Amino acid sequence: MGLGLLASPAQGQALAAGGGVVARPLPRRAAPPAARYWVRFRDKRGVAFEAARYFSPAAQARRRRQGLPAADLADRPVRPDYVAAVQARVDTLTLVSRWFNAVACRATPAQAAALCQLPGVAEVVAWPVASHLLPARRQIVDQQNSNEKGAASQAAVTPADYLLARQQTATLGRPALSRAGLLGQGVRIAVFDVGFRGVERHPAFQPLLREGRLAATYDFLKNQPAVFRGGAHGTEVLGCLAGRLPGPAGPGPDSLRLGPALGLAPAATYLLARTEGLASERYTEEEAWLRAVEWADQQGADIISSSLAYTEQRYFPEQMDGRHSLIGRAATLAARKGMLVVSAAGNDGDDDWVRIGTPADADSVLAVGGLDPATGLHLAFSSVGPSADRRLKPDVSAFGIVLTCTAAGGFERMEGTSFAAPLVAGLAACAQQASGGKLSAMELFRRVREAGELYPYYDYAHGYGRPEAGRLLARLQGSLPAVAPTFDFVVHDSLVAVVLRPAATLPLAQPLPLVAESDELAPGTADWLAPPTPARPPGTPTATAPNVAPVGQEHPAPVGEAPALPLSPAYPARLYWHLADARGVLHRYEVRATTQRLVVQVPRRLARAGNVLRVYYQGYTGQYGE
Amino acid sequence: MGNNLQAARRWPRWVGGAAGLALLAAAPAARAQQVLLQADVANDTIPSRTGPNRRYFGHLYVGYALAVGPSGLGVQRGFASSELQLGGRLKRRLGPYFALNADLRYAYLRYRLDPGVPRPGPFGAGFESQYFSYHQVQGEASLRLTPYRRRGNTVGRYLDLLAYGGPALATTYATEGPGPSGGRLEVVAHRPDYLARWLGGVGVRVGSNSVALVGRYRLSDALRGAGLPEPPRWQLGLEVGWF
Repeated sequence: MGLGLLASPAQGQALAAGGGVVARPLPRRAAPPAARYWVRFRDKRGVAFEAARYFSPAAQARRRRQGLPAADLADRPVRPDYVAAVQARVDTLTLVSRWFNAVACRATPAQAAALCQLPGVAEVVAWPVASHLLPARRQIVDQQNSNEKGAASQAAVTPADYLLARQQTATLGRPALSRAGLLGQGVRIAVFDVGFRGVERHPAFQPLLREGRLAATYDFLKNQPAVFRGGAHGTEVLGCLAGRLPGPAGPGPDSLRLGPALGLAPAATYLLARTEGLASERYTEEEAWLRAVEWADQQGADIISSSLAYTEQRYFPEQMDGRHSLIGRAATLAARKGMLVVSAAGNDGDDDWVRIGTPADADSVLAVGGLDPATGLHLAFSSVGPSADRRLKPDVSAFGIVLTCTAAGGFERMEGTSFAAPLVAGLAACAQQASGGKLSAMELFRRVREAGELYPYYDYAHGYGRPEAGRLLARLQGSLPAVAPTFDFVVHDSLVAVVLRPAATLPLAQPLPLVAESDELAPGTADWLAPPTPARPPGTPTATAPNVAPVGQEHPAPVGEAPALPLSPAYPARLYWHLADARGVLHRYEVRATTQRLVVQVPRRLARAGNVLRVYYQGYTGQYGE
Repeated sequence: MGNNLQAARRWPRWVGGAAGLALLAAAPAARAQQVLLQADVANDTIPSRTGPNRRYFGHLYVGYALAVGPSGLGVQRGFASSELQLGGRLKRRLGPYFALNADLRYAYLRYRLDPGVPRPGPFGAGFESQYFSYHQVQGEASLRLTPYRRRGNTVGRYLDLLAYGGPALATTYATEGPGPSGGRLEVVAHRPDYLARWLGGVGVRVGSNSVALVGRYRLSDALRGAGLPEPPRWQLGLEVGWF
């Protein structure tokens, strides 16, 4: 489908506008079947390039703020004579990437061999793609029906769902951000997804549209600016960044200013790109992602929120090292250009794949895992690390079950790490705003990791845990005060025991319920909420769907009794411990409930030869090694 | 990585630590601990040698094929003359393009004869219904050609060139019609001499992941005896893999 479109001249022009991609019709002739090839060039000598003309003012400003050069060699376009030479010898050009100084094309083996002889061609490698492309599923929602459904969905927001909506941002430190006036103002967030159906009609996004904070949109599969079509997954993801619940006066555009936000960056500026097809997993999607990230750079994006993960349809678990996939390498380049890529870890934790997908495997990408709102612990479906080269992944975690906007105009409880990623992207946007936009991508990456609840402790299910804005802002202003030890290592003959200090076993202070924020609904103004439903006891793990759909294709969470969330985001204190080798690679990790002071005992010999036993409890991390 | 039960199954890998921790687990104090999450990374990250696009891959499948093509025997077409297969397949990957498959399966082949068509003995006339069938154990070997250079851990799209054969463990010829003194007469002959004991042939399979279209041509005769016309030699059907 994508190739068919690329072959049409009119769309070829659109391509040139969107990503600098050119195409020409496939000639009809009897020849060996064409395959896809990746042609990398040697140099960019003699290419004229004016950064001021290519980059948008926002992109130029971002580079200035971060102290990056106005442009570097990778930003220069591919030499036109090289492109023309390849184009003259192949069937179709599908991608021209200035970052990689390369083109992707469809060619016969003989044509590919001829390309190797061209001047300037460094290498020609086969580039995988499925040749029989399936059309994307077209979903047209009737306007009237969608409005009716929207009204119905809105009425279906239960008090439990409302509480979940508040908790999903409160656990990341929404109160601290509100006090600091940080809502993502001035930060540009690019969202790459399968489609944004219904965004233009959904009341939750009306402030975004009305205030002109939807800076640009582009569909890199269809090569057109319209993105409010295709799938609705992007709508749901955007809801976790910029969505809002109805305000006190009830549904309506004018009431939305006061509606509680579903994400942490409701005032940011957005760039929406469609890079993902609905019907099948195709390698062209990775090319579209690369084009989109170059476009986002041109448009001045600070943060990229990408809720997709490619796994076994294209790769093996041992290839999840950030270097095998095109999308992983593109994400790494994005970080070098000053954009933080926030990616969902994946929804394969409870299936055969288990591991994170790509691009979450890239070392510069902030991979976000999913937490159960009821327990604050890892959700079974959330993909786990480490990466194939044993780096820590996921980096941090956020709620994997959220309330978000639907394409029908309402709100629905959804599950998947797709929604954890935009929550953290919103937090990163606020951190970038707090720094005045001066943090480089990797600095921002590091700050968010260091704001993790568990930091410096980590494991491969939670990463550094749930980042919290209070810690993040405090670190921006200086280092955090040292935490008093909460446990001791008691060494016996052959064992080392972890014993809690008596003071740490006292019940935790519970914060007051979060009712003092400006956008919080007063009890009398929330009359549109549905009657409460029976709830399970607090702390009960949330029952998730047997198999959560892959990232990018999530469905609404199973209907049933909602878990009773604690009024405040405080969870019972748990003890986390792991055994790590000298490189920091974990051999084993656990989370234990603390029902007594002696929580765990480990043979001492496991903590020798550079191995360490590291324990986290109530904000304090200690380690033992011999 | 996984829940407590999954992780508990992996404890034996901790050769040294297992003994000590098992002793601890037996102590009342240790029993009181509730493990909420547990993972043994070393075990969880062992690269698998089996999988749809790994060196070895085994799976079960079910197939159903209709008899098609010309025949002088006058068989009924459609579901009346068909073969049902239940089997397992072991795939050995030879590289990005090639693989070898070895199948072992049970197959039930049945040809139902058209009552309106005259035919020589031993198939009589005057029956309302008559069919003959083969319960077989079949082995199959096939060479798999995969057109795509690279893919993930999936079977992908493929073309199989196959040869199969196997003994008929049981054969049956059954007729049903009006009895000579009224009522209905049903006659079943087990392992009659004129039904072949071995069947085999060649074929081709075109598939995408767990679904495949299969065409087979039977090289062996299904009926023994000179002058007997053959039932259709071609089969066209569908296979669905379970993986």
